[in-house]
Amino acid sequence: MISAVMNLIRRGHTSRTLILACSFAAVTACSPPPPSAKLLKETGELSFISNYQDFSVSSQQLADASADFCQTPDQAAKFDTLHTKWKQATIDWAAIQNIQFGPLMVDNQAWKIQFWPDKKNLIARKVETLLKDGKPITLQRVDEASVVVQGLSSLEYQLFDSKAGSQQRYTGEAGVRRCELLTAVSTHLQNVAEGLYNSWRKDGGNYLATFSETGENNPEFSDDNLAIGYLLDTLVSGIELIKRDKLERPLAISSSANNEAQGSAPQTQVYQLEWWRSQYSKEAIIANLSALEDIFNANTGYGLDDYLREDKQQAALSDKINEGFKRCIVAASAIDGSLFDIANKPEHRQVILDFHRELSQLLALLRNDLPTALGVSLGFNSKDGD
Amino acid sequence: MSVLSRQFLLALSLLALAFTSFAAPQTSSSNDKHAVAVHYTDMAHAIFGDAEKSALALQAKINDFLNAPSAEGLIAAQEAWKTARKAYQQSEVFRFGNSIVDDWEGQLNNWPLDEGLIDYVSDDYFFALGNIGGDINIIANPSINLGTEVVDTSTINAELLRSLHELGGSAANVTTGYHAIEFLLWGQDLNGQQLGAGERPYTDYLTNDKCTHENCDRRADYLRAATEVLVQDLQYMTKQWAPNIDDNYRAELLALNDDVILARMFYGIGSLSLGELGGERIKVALEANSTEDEHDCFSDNTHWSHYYNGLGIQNIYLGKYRRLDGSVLSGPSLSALVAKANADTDKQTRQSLDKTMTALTVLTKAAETKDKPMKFDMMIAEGNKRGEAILSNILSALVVQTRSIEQAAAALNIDPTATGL
Repeated sequence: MISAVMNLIRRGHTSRTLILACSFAAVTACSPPPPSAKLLKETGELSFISNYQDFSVSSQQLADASADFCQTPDQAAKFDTLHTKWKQATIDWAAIQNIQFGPLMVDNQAWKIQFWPDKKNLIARKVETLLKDGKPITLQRVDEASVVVQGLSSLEYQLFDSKAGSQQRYTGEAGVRRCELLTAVSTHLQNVAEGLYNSWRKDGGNYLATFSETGENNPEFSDDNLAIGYLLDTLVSGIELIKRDKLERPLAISSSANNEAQGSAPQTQVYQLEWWRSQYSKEAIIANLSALEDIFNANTGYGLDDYLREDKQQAALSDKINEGFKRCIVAASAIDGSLFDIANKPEHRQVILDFHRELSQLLALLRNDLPTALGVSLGFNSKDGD
Repeated sequence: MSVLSRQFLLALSLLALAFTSFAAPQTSSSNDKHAVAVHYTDMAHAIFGDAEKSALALQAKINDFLNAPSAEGLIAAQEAWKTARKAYQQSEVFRFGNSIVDDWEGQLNNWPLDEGLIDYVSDDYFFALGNIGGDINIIANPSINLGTEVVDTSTINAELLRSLHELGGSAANVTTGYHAIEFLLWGQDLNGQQLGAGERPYTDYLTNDKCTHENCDRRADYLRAATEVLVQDLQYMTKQWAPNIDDNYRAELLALNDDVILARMFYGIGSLSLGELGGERIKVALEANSTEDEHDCFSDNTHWSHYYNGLGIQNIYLGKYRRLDGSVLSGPSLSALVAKANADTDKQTRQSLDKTMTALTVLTKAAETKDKPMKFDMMIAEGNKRGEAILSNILSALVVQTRSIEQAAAALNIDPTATGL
């Protein structure tokens, strides 16, 4: 309870949490775990840790590609590779973006990776200011700077912006400083990603134990239902984020209305789309959906799907939710072109609305039916609709 | 709410998950609870009433100034604006938990705004990407072209400003409310993260040939109209909380189950505490080192806005409000109910609220000290360790306070999310 909130702000709290979590791990090892414990363990191992590992690996590759490109910044092929590596890291980030607990929440790790929406174009302004000020660009400098110049968002600007993201900007004498920033920010991101993965690993911070071995000595989760509540919140707020922040707000879709009034054009705010500079919004959404589906199923392990079916006798709901994820992914994949491009084209509107409707239906299952079936309540966040 | 602040509400939400495991050793009688609910509406009435009165005083100062523009008159109007913020900022605690307030507040307190929509701005002004209204400058233009339609803006009045608020669907297009008025009184703060607020000259309102930055008459019309809208809006809200009216919000609220009303009270103080004040108003600005995310950015009055938000939270828990005239309204409180159920929890909650107010006082003192004042926009500058420490201290206090609030609700066996909303 306490730590859930404290973790958001206080530095240094996790290490204590983790030590405590390890010390009682042995106690529970003797008796066969109840289904809820199995659920937590397998979801943690097969879904969460695996996703953190992927993100750590692709961030490493992105950092390597940055360093490699900056050796010979006039080679177009290396710039293409860099773009590809950024996209892979962004897809892997989408798989953990929705996780609402644990190391990601400590000391604002998520903000260091992504700053969005950036309504006032702070990323461009702060990156350009830093480039101009003449002081040496180091890893430490980036670490101490505003979160706005860090992470994938900053790299997206540096690699995909119509002006700042052109390869020519990195060549010649003027390009040296841009390359310094590119490599420093990539390396910083790699450190953040690696830190997150290490916090979860058994031979690292072993947050897996904190999450899956609950009990009164566990400083964060006094029982399994509390941890299951976080899983639930991750699913619900994940779909809400896609529905509201990634679709409704930028594309001016009313949250409830299925039918739009004909005639007046919707007032879209396309610069509030996630990843608008790289036009990678749709791919990131699909990656979010796949990851949430993966969390629900604990990949191939004993996940919420099995727990519902076997422990709660809710096979029908379990199937409906899995069906819902599939329908959402199909509907998102049916969108032709990037959201940024088609946002204001009437002929594409219906496909987007169809996807939105699928999301609403899945959200209703997750928000209304799933908590009841699990006997776990949802909190403020998932209820406020704000 | 921005995505960036979601984690704050989430943290709050997870506290609620366990509330059922606590049981109130002593339940309060329904009379006690109802009395607390009634007093809550009395407090709302008093606070919105003060906001209305101080807005009327602001209007009087603005009229004086516009009738005979002078440097002194402008300062007097600015001082009246700061006074008008005191009660309003304390009223924000009623937003979360009362849709009638939350659905209405945007036209009074939307921020950050793209001020180029309203008046002239400096050359290095940035507005929200893609905002069609970001640099329209209503004051300079008797008609504006929105691409799909042309709007006649030849007469600037309350009706026009209301119709243009959030034009193009963008929340940055703020034509009314405190911050539009603030911009018209102070102008842009061009000092970045150095000391100094906006420095609009009073001559921006001279109607003779000494007028600076052109269109002084239209600028005066705008200021007059925006102030009129503010007064009207506050009058409306005060009436919603007035006693002895059959069909206002107060009557509607008090007809609900008392536990639901108490849940809304807890939800309101918890949400303002961590999500809005802690998240949107402090954390985002601090982490991004962004003056764009400063609440009262033109006037550099942000420290007081934060302070009065904090006080508003404490007011609700203690059932106590010090009116602008100095008199104190006090009555049946959540604190008393909690004390009855669990004296320790109540004591802890009161202490944590005190601690937040102490941390906010450090903020106001640092900002107001005569010798080298440090305003909020300076505190959030990169590398300002002292500023960061002051703000982090407030954040920590808000976190602890929110936890106490949750425990206080649990002591009464109230689920703060069971607001019926």
